[in-house]
Amino acid sequence: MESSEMAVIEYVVAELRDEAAGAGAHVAALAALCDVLAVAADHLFDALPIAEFVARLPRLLASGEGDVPLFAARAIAEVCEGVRPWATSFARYGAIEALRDKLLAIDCIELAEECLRALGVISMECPKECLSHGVPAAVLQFFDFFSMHKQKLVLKIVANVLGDFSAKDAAKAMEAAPVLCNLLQSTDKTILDSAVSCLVLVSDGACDSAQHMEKLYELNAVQATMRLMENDGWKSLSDETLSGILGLLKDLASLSARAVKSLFELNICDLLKQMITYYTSSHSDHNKVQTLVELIYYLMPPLEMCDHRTELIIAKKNVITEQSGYIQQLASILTFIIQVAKSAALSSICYSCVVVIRNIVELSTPSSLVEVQKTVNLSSLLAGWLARKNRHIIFQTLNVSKTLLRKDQKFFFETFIREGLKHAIDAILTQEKGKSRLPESCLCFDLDLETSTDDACRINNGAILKLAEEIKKNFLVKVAKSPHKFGCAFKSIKEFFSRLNCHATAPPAKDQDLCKQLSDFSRQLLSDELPSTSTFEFVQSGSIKHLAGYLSNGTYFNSNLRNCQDLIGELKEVKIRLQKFTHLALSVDNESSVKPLEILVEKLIDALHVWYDSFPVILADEQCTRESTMIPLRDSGTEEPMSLYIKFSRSAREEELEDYGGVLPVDLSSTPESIEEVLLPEICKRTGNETSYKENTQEANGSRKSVGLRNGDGHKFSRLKFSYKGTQLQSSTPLFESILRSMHEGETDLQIDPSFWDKEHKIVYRRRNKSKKISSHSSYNIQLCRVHEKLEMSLLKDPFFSTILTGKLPGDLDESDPSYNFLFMLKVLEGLNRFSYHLSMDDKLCKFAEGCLQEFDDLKVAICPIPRDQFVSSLLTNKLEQQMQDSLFGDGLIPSWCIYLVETCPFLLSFEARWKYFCLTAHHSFMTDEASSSTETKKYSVTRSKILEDASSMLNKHGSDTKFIEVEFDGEVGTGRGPTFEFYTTVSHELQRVGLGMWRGDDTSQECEAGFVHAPFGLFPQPWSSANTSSQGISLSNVVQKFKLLGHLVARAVLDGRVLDIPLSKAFYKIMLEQDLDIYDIPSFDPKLGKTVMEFQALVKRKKFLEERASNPAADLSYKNVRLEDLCLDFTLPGNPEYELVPGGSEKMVTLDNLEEYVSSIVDATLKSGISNQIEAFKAGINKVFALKTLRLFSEDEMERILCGEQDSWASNKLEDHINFDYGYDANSASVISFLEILREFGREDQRAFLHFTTGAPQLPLGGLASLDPKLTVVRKQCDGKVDNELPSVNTCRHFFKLPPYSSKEIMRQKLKYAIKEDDIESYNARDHQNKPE
Amino acid sequence: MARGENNTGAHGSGNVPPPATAASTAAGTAAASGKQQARGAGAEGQSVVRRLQSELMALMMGGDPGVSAFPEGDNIFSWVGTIAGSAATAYEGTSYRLSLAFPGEYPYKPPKVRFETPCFHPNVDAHGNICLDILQDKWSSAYDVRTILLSIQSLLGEPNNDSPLNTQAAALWPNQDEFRKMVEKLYKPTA
Repeated sequence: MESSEMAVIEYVVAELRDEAAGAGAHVAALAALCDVLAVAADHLFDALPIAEFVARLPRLLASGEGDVPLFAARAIAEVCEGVRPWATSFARYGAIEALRDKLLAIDCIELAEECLRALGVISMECPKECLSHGVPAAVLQFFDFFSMHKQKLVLKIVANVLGDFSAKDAAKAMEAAPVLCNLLQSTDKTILDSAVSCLVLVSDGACDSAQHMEKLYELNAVQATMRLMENDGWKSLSDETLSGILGLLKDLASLSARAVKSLFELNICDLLKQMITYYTSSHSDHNKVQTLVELIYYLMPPLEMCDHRTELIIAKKNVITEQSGYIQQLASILTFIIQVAKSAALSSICYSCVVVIRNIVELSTPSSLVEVQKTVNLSSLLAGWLARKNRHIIFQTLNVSKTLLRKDQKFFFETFIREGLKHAIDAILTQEKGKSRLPESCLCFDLDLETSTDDACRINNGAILKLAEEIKKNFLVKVAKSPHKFGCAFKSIKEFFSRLNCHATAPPAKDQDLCKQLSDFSRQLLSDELPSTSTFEFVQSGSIKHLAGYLSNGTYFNSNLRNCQDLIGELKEVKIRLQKFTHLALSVDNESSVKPLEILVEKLIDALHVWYDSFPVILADEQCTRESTMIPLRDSGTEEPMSLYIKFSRSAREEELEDYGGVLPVDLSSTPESIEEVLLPEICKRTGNETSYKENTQEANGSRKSVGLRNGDGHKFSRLKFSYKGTQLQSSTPLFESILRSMHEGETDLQIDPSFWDKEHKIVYRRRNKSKKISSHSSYNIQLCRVHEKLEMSLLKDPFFSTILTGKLPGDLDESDPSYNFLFMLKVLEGLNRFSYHLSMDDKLCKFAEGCLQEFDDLKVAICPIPRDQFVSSLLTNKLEQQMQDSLFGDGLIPSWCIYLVETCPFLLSFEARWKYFCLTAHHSFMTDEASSSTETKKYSVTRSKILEDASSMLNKHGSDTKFIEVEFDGEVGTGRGPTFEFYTTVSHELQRVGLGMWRGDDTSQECEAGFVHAPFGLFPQPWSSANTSSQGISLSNVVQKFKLLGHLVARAVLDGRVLDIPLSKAFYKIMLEQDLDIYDIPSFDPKLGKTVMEFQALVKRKKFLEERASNPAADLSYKNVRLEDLCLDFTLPGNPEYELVPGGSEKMVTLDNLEEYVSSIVDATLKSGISNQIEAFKAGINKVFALKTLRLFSEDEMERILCGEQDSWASNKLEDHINFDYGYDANSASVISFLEILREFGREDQRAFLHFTTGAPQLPLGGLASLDPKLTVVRKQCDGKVDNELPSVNTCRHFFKLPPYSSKEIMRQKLKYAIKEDDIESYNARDHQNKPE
Repeated sequence: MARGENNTGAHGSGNVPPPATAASTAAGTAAASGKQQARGAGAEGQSVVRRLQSELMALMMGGDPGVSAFPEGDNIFSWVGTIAGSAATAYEGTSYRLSLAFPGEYPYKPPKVRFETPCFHPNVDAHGNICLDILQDKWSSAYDVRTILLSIQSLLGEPNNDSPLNTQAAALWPNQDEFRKMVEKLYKPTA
């Protein structure tokens, strides 16, 4: 074969050399050559006499007769496809010109297609030559005549050629524009995407030329692309295509005034507003946002004049000024830009936004600017931006301020004072004098097309100072009014807190009057004055520190006030203050529906955002950041983690330590604490210091005891101090981060230079001096730990309470950092909000004990917490998201502020961001849905009839394996997603079966349906006495095994992204999150038991109170007019008579004297000792897969969402199958249709509230709505008055929902929401119940 | 008081249980009783037993007119109660038999109470289930058999027509003469 092929090659060469041979002979030879090449093996190409073909084939193509060009083209294509580098050789011999000419001649479609094949390869190897010879226009000339497949090849050739070209070739590139613009109307998605891509390449290369941009405009590029995007069409475009279109429009707008006009006529601003909203909230995409902001910038003429752009600037101004509607369009988008700037995680985006804001402000009318100020409070944001470290942002912000004052000096002068803008400018004037300039990445040219690396930064040393002085001199000379404003706020704050402190120390007898007085005053302050106070005034008034000082009983101001002698007394005092403030902050005035706590939290988060620079984002390099749109996945087997090279050297003044003398490679996550353990053995002087070393070791051992403290600082006693360039390093901040911050002291985004990894960084160490403070602190923490063991209220053990008690945030956060105060207060308020029920109920019990409350029925909590998402900071969430997109995040590049926020203040971050953080940090191998198809899976087979045993065995074997679990059922067809999903669902169902002894309610057979435990308020473990290891045929060891299986199942479900169908109670989720429970948690899963136990506890407290006052204890210590003894209770667990709370409990009757013991025994059995074996097994099951503590960053509601997913069934069309409609309604009634729509639109919390309102319980039986018995029935409510004023009501006996026939769906929604929400605090009597007869 | 919804004629006779239904009810009662018997015997709920015995003693000595109750057979967890209709009400001269089933968690959780004698009343359904707040979320362990029966006796004369289980009865309530006739018509004492 091979020899015969070579024979053919020789024949071809001989024929081609023969000039005298006719066209026929050449055709025959070329045909033979093509046949051989088409099936040639790779090694044959090595033997080709390529020189002969390179020289002759292009000539034959160009001037051959008959079919010679066809076969010549085909031969060229075959050769080039075989050995790509030969394309270059062909190009040198005129192949490109010949191919182009044949395409333009379009003599024969087959020939043209062969030319395309050849150019398909040549264009990849020689794009520049192809462009200079006009290939793009040539291949596009007869685009419509080609087949679909060839059309795509054409576009591929164009993309290859246009991939990179210089300005001098722009004219050639523009030749392709007409056809490409026409293709924007194509209905084929692939062609459309390719056309957009090519067009973007054209504009990218030609965007320096106004002439070319005008040409593109004349080709209707604007109209065509805008048509693609209208009516939400932009959402269906591919991401790359949409980005391309936006880039194209940006280029057009930058240089073509007519394009700008056309865009305005097509309502570009409306479209941009939609996109900004879309990409800043639900579909976060920083790169898109940046592009959108730039596009808006180019719609306007730049403010700074450039000599060679004068005509364009004038033309743009004319476009905008000739139509007032265009200015209005820009003005309407101003609030959107402001929102982007407000939550931007990167300085570059923030800078672009400020520049755009400046331009729009310049074009806006004074009245519209006043409106913007009232809507989004621009002045407050400007004040925040002036506090940034980025000089570029400061400079542009000053420009905006100057323009605002010029537009309406009177109005903005006042807002500048109120919002602290004047104060910020004064601060700049003070700081800028004598301030040396620090290196900073220049942002001046981010928005300018004419970029030159050599251009100097426009903000020279004196620019900011000069501008600030100008503003002050020209606009801010009036200072007479300002003291009055501040004085007003200060006075209110001082008065409020002085009354608050009086309130805290008032004796109970006077409490009533004082409480009323304080309540009225606080209502005025928190509800009326606080909302109208600016963030600046709020901060300047010192209210945060005063509030922190009040709540901490003074320790916030002076930690030395901690009194180790009376720690329990201190605890009580702080608790009392929390209770009083809780009542004030969460009570709702009748005139307003906003709680004071909501306003306070909003102010604090706004204030926190001012300190943007406390949370720097670390960027590796820009390309990685821009490319990554997915969660980066790290395969530890294929990559070496990045290391930092640090040279440790001894301080010059240090004499007792050795010099290290070497360079140490350090992990990104290494901290001074961890490094110390490595260095210490090397640098301790052994000669003459052996004894001293031993003593130090013993001391270290002693200090290690404090590691176990839950609420300590969390770091060991450190013996070394490290510093970098003279700055001491924080012991818990990674070395990598500290060095980076020091190198970029003047910047807010820490950009990593590639040389950072090669350079040696010098760090100096020396011994740390011992101090009494540390010793005292350790002693305090040890004592606190001991006291914790005696406390019954879980509230008092929570980290937030320790924070307020010690007046200090956990960890070694820098207290001088401006953000510290706000983080402290937010943490305290979030804890107060979370424990509001506990605090309030405990307060009620105390009031009952003291006689302030007389009836047991008064033991009700009248307040409810504000939604948890009120505490979320969009700015910090965006910063964390941005950081997680960086490629080094997976290598351990996690700034300390990220770790700190996630661990200490997770409530500040959105659930989505924390979930992503959890995936990236806890499970490096966690896969998103998109990537799951490429992961490895492990298959298991289970038998349906013994699924629990098989599941237990399977999960024990699988353990913490990172592979996905895939399950199939024995004897059944099917594998993969479906059976695996069913497996998780089935096992979670089986674990709820009656008779397993796992859950409360298991032994109440009457309430069980279809053999499963029904827990209306969620499943919670059934207590098992340690005295009994078996009961009614069930053994405790079997129960424990089931809980271990459940733990395993939960962990695998989280890891593999599976959904469980098991309604666990909130209290059980709290256990999962390792939070403590107490008596106040019992009502959440067993309301009847909880209510009675709470009432007994109230009786216990009252008895104690009376005894302390030596009153007659027998007077009024009955339980609802019944003597306690007459209740005939003994010391066994209610509902579980085998469980003796104390030895011999079944014979011991409950009396007034032992009621306290009885209550605490029930609480212990229900929440602690009775379920400890089960809980330990459950936690062990989880820990076998991943560390349970990694789940602490979530709340119990979020855990439920992770495990059980969203309830999709309500969104289906089957909702009406499970609901009856009667007494005036049927399935087609207008009211019913609206009602069902509203139910489907409800979120999880609203659904739960609706169920609680309708059935008395937030959980449905297994099987969902279909299992409700009797069936939910919606009936028409008879209304005597105006229908729209009525509220829905229910009959929980029959699951009747009485729905008034409201006049509109929106009114129905409002009334429905009001009714189901008010039900939570039991103040609304919407439930139709029989009143107790007299 | 607000009037209940108007009933269509089709529901007119819906509340008269046919003989088959009565037989089913009796069978259900027997089954439930059997279940209670089995569970009660095995539970050794001394606390609940002690409490129920104490309540029984109080009832026998208390002497409240018109109400009485006693365990059914040997099962202390299953009682039968009787309520006499109060004077000057539509139920004067009647006597109703009720069943009380006590859960293992009693007195932390209320007993299940049901009319066994058919009762025409706005808050009693065709199966004898009663809608009464102290038997549901208003329950307290301070309540006992005596207070339950007295409350139900009061309910007979003072229904809550806004939350009816028997809409026909609720609609008819304002017309006491007609209501009385219906009560008498449907009254079938259990032997």
